[in-house]
Amino acid sequence: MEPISGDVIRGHLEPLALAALEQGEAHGFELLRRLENAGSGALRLKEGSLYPALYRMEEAGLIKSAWEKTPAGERGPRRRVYRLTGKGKRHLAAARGEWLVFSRVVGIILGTTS
Amino acid sequence: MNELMVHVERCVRPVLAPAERKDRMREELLAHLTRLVEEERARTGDGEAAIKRAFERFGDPATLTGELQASVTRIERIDRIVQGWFAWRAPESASRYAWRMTARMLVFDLCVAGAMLLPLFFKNSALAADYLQRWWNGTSFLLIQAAVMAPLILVYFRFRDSCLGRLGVTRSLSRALGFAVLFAIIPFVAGIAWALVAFRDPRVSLALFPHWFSALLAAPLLLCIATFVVGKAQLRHTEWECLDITESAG
Repeated sequence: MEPISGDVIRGHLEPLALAALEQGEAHGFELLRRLENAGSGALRLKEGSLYPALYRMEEAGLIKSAWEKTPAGERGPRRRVYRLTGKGKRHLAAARGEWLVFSRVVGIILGTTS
Repeated sequence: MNELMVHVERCVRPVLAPAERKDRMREELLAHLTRLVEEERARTGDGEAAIKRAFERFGDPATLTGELQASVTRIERIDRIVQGWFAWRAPESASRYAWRMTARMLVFDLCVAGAMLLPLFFKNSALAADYLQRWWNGTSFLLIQAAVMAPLILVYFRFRDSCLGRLGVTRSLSRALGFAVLFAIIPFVAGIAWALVAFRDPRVSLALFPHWFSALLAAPLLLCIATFVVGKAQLRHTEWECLDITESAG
């Protein structure tokens, strides 16, 4: 299967990230691995692009974040752990509903859905 | 690590956002890029190729800059503009920053003093003399405050670097102690000087002595709080902002 990349994913990145966070809190790297695994390797996203989406969602109150506690003696840059908020859960449910309608309508137009 | 920091900085530096926001972006993106390189190195076993592949997976800096900028709110952009007036700007030296702040404060103080002279036109001569004396008390305070700004900023930077031992300065408790004493003396002397200049009477200066003594004790405490609350973040910010991100770097 041809990988899905670029603008196609970017337009749906926020609900995808929310869905990945539904499994539990995670930092950006872990979130991307969840998305890759869920998409069976078909999703190809420029990984840095996840963070602007996370910042927008945090600003909108859909997710919350905090710095991960670094174990004593461990050096290197800290990671930020994200978790879904109540508003984020409601937003995800609405996005799922919209996607069902969208995919059904587009499917009918393209002739892939009867 | 430096090569990765340069790549991250190419993405973040052009973003118009407050310093704290940009530092968060930097740290988060660097943590991600570091993990990517580790993953690629484990897969290929080749350090150079791993970095190249990690950069490809991470994305083009110019594109990412645009996406990061789009995530910055309007209020944060205004905050960044205000920070531009008051905050340190790479790569200016500590002394240039201190004098820039002093000049700004002096201009502001002179404007305030000038504005405070306006009511004088509406007062009769009996009240004017009293008003003028009170105006001089306030103005001399503002001028002395502007005059001590540069030395206070400079001593703060020296104290912070001596305590935290960064930016090419080795950690030294004795040097830090010396700067703390100096920091305490500056407002103490400035307070006495202000009382002498404003009231032209040493007795008033003596009467106000307990206030200057309080300043003498409080100043090092404030210095320690500033250093240990924001000092580390300031140093991290300085290191990022001073990175060479031209094509020849990294």
